[in-house]
Amino acid sequence: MKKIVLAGNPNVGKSVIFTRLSGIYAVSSNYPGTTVEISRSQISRDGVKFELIDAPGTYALEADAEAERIAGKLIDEADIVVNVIDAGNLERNLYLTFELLEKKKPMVIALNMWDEVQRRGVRIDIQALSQILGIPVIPVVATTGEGMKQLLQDLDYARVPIIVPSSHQERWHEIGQVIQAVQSFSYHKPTWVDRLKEATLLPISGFLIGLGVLYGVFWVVRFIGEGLINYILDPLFYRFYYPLLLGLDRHLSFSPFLRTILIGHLVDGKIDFEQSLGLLSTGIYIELGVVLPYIISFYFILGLLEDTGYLPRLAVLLDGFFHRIGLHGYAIVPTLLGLGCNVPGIMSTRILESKTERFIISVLISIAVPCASQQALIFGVLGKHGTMPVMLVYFILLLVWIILGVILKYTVKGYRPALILEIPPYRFPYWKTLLPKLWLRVKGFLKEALPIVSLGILAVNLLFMTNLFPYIAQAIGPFFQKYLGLPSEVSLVLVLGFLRKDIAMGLLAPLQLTVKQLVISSVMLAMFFPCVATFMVILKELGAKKLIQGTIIMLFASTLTGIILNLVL
Amino acid sequence: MVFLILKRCIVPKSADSFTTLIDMLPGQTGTITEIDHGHGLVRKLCVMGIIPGKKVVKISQILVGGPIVIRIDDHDLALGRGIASRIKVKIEK
Ligand SMILES: Nc1nc2c(ncn2[C@@H]2O[C@H](COP(=O)(O)OP(=O)(O)OP(=O)(O)O)[C@@H](O)[C@H]2O)c(=O)[nH]1
Ligand SMILES: [Mg+2]
Repeated sequence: MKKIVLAGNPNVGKSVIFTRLSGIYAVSSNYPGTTVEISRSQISRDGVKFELIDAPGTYALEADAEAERIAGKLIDEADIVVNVIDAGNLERNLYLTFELLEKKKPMVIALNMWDEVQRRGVRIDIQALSQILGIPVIPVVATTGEGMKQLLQDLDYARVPIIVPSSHQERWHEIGQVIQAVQSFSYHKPTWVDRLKEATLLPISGFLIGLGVLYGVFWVVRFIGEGLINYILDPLFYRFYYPLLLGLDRHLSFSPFLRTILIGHLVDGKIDFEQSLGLLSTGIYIELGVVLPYIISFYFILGLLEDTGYLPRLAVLLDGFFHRIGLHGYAIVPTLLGLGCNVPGIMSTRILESKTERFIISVLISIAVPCASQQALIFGVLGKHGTMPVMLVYFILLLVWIILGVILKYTVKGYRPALILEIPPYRFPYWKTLLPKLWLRVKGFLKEALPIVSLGILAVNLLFMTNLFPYIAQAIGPFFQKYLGLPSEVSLVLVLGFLRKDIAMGLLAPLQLTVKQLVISSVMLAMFFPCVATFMVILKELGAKKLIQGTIIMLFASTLTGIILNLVL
Repeated sequence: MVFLILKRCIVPKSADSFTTLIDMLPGQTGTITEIDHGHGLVRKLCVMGIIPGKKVVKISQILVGGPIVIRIDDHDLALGRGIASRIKVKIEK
């Protein structure tokens, strides 16, 4: 089976083309560096099967970042290279094209974003370009699917390019000549819309807009999340699910064991969704009734931010600030992804070329960036006590993030490159990419969370039944009481939080903690050991040595923070 | 190899340009004359089309040590200060 590799600069639409051709959704967003892994899929055309591969974007074939190295390797394996080009940025894109030409692989060019080019009044002579390079050039619009059929057809005409690129020194000169031969502009005067777009990048207006956006995001996430809970999920749970459980409860009276596992214990003679701790009561309710709505609202807003192209602008605004903690502005991308789930956040550090930087961001994310499940938990247990305790937890985590960042900046030696970032034009979010992305992420959450949370709740119940729990509590309990001011039961919550943070909520609720204790527990839970999945991804991405180092930092930082909080609050 | 990569990005210098991207004012247009740094950086900028001879418009300079935003060929790029201070430009009157 022939291998077709989609190769091109970052953010030119490779993943949207992959999705179009294969029908399998590959995540796309309007910033460079969305794809950090390889997606493969089989496609067939006229009965012939091909393997289609979506690669990370790259500017050149020999490159430093992990993501770019992956792309380089894939191109060597390819039978046919589909060079995806942003037609609106032809000149810059041709640099990679020339590098690809040297590989002497059968090639076609997909001239993507053809819609934008036409809107902006840029004229490109496709035939001339195709003749000069000696390979098919197909104008396409990935987002609408225009030109995809032609692209598939023209795979048959993929040719080893005839052009012999001259020496490297002449490369840009040569590209300049091609551009002169094929491209012409019609000047367009900047409008007020252009000025408004620019304002997001100017020092003062940019910061004001940035603050507004962040505040808006926070507010809308809560608004949608709480809306879903109050108007859809809670009514569903209480009106339809509760009677169902009651019925089941009666049928289970023959087996107290099953009853405890599935329904849990009764609180004041009733099933309590938050405290009963059964698989079907608390397990289902916390995941679907509390965490899921926030997952949906968070990822919806994140998708909007990603697809409009605001994130790189935020990165630019925050760069100076991030430098003080030894990172550069682009670290905002992994950090924001980490606010959804730490796993993709840490994966996305592959776009960074420095190992040191990847380590620092991964540690910061796993310690001080609460994922959506943790945040739902914070809202869930502290929201009842008002906005202040919730804000306090966020503030403490932010402070930890900053202090830890500064400490790491001065203690972890290594190469830290400066910011070089292409800022894509603003684009209108396209529901056809927005909704599948949301669905993919929500599905990922459900697949990952439900089994593990169920397992955790099962484990808790068994622990309670077997009296193993007092042993654990005895072992670490005194420390908790003495230094953290927390009842020894919380130690168990922290340990189980290792499976998934959302389990912990059902466990904290029945403990009748004071607000101070809840704040400390929430902070500790967020900082202390990330969940198993995060643990594994750090191991995979950075290796065992870094994982151990990270873990030591984590234990140290969380314990210290807990002790300090107990003293000052 | 490194030498080759380095060579392809160097264009003869012009004599009368001492301003850098940092000293340029937002709104001003200029031409890059020289990139004064190790080959790693020169190469990285080169593959993105930031090379001597290119026209640049400075769009903005973010406060508190933030990056410089420039426009080349109608596309925006952000460069950290350290890098920007090493890119020499000749400002257009
Ligand atoms: N207007 C328009 N937008 C497009 C087109 N193709 C892609 N886009 C948008 O361009 C952005 C980048 O698309 P991606 O598919 O993520 O780009 P990519 O090449 O995979 O990027 P990396 O994975 O970062 O290398 C997304 O916001 C797309 O919606 C197109 O033909 N027209
Ligand atoms: Mg992609």
